[in-house]
Amino acid sequence: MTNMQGSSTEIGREDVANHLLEMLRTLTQDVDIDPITLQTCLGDTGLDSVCVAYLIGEIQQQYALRDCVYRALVKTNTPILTLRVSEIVDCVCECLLQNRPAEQEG
Amino acid sequence: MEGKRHSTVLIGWDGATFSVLDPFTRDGTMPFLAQFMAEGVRGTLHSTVHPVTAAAWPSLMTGVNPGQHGVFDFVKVDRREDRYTYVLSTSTDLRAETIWSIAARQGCRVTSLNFISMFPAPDIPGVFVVPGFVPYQYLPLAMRPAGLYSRIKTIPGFEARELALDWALERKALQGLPEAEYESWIKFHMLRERHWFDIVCMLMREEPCDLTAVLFDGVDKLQHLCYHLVDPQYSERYASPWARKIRNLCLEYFRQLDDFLRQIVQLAGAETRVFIASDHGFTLAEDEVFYANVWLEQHGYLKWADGVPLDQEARLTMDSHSGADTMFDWPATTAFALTPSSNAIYIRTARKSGAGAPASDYHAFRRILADALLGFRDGSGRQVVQAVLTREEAFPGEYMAEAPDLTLILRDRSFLSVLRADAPLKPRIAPYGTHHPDGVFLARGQGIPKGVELPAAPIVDVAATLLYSLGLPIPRQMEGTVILPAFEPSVLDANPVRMENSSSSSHAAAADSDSAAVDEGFKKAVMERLIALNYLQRPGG
Repeated sequence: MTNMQGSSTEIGREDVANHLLEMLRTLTQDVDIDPITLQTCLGDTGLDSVCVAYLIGEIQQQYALRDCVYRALVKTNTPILTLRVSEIVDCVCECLLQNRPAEQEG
Repeated sequence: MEGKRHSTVLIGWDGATFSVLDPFTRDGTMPFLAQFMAEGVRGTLHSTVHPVTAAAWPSLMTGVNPGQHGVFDFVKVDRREDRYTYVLSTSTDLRAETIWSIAARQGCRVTSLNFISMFPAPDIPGVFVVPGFVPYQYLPLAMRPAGLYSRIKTIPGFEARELALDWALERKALQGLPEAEYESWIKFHMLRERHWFDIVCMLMREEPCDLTAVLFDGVDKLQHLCYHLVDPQYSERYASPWARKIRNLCLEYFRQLDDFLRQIVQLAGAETRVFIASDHGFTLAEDEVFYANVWLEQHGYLKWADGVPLDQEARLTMDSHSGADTMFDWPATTAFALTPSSNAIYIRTARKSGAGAPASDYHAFRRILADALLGFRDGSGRQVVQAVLTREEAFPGEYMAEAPDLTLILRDRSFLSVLRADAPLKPRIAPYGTHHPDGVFLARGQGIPKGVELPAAPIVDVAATLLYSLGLPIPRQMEGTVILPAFEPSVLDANPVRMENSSSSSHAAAADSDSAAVDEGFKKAVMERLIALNYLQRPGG
């Protein structure tokens, strides 16, 4: 797994989306579900909330975002399994746009 | 001068304790372990100051104490808002270099199986990682290198659900089980250990490594619920047919563990050194549960949120994923406990007007709270909280500020409950095993003396000892040192301990500043206090 550390100028929304979709497809390789797209609701992937939390943990590490994505999602007060893939992508991009908060906070 | 490189295997037995292993070596339950002890060395391994898996294994893996590696509990507490929350600790929180990484950057191939704080796993060439504490659905992405999962899936009988973490099951080790579920619980752990055993054997055959490490965590799980049935000091008191049946199942578990050890040693070959270590030991808790948040409420430090139910079953935490942080009326709360595993009290410092200890009064507030906890007595006048450690005492180091404000050591070394109850001290429903700071360390193989009892060593010494066995220099930032009596004098003469000269790792520079930050005199004073509290033994004592 490649570490994707970099600023938002280096990583575009399409990169994040493709990366996340690839991860979701790997996780669901043995599950009989409809093809996963950006519009897929996480609850329809067959993954449980703990697994999605781990997925977000890995994304945060790969983009060097510390816990920015997790915190942003918690603030929405929305159950994680009701979110669409595109909303996670948006959240990751938003965190990247904040100019690598890990460095600012660190 | 290059040290002589010896293939090295580390077998982790989570929670293993000589009070159980020794009787099993004598009564024939673990015949290979008896042979292993006779042909090698053994000694007590002192755990971290608070002996909990989440902090202790990282200390073993990095050679530094929690204040220097940054992991204090299974969760990381976020104090940035008025309402404290927590998230699962991950490898991002482990900020000291692991022996897997140290060995790999010096050209060793490494296998690391089932260790905590390894998720997300590092992507290091030559390192095979299956992290511990990962839910089964995430396993396909969790392993390194990519593609390892596909290979592991081909092992006959492999079942991801049985291998991986299930938080509902984990909680059972804390909360207790109905008698009817003990049998399936033990059998499940036998199955899980077999999966880890199959994986380590596959990798030892197909991807032989200089350092192979595997953690079997069922010992801890079984002993939490069945310690009274496996320690002969207590087991004779439990003679019902059910108790005998469950004890026999526990013996089966330990026989299997013994057989795994025999097979791993055989597979490793005569040239390989095999080490066994546990993160902490075990003992039997007394028959009471301390509800820390109830005590805090009674003393005006905490207010419950509306609708928080009273616990009637001597449980330690909630059964669902929802956090303990939902239980408090935050504006009216200044001190609280979030997790049983940490045995910690957090102090909420005020950011603005309203509840919270004023930052300027933090130390005085903390001292008053600690003294009050120490003054808590049960109905017979016995002290309940044996010691209260500040974070400076328990977790000195660069990441001390992230540690709990206070860490409690209860008189029976048990874990506190975070739940609401009608009294701060209530009877336990069933016997319960709890962590003891004295774990185990054993080693056998070329250059290791036979039948030698080692002086007690701290858990941070294991990392340096494994690196020495591998013929590698020891990073200077490592707090632990090589357990020298674990090696023949001729080995030590031929291969003197070498310290790493350059700051090869990205962690080295940070660690250098750590050592400057933590005044040696202060460290010594803290050690003296811990020894005075009878919590640590004097080195060599």
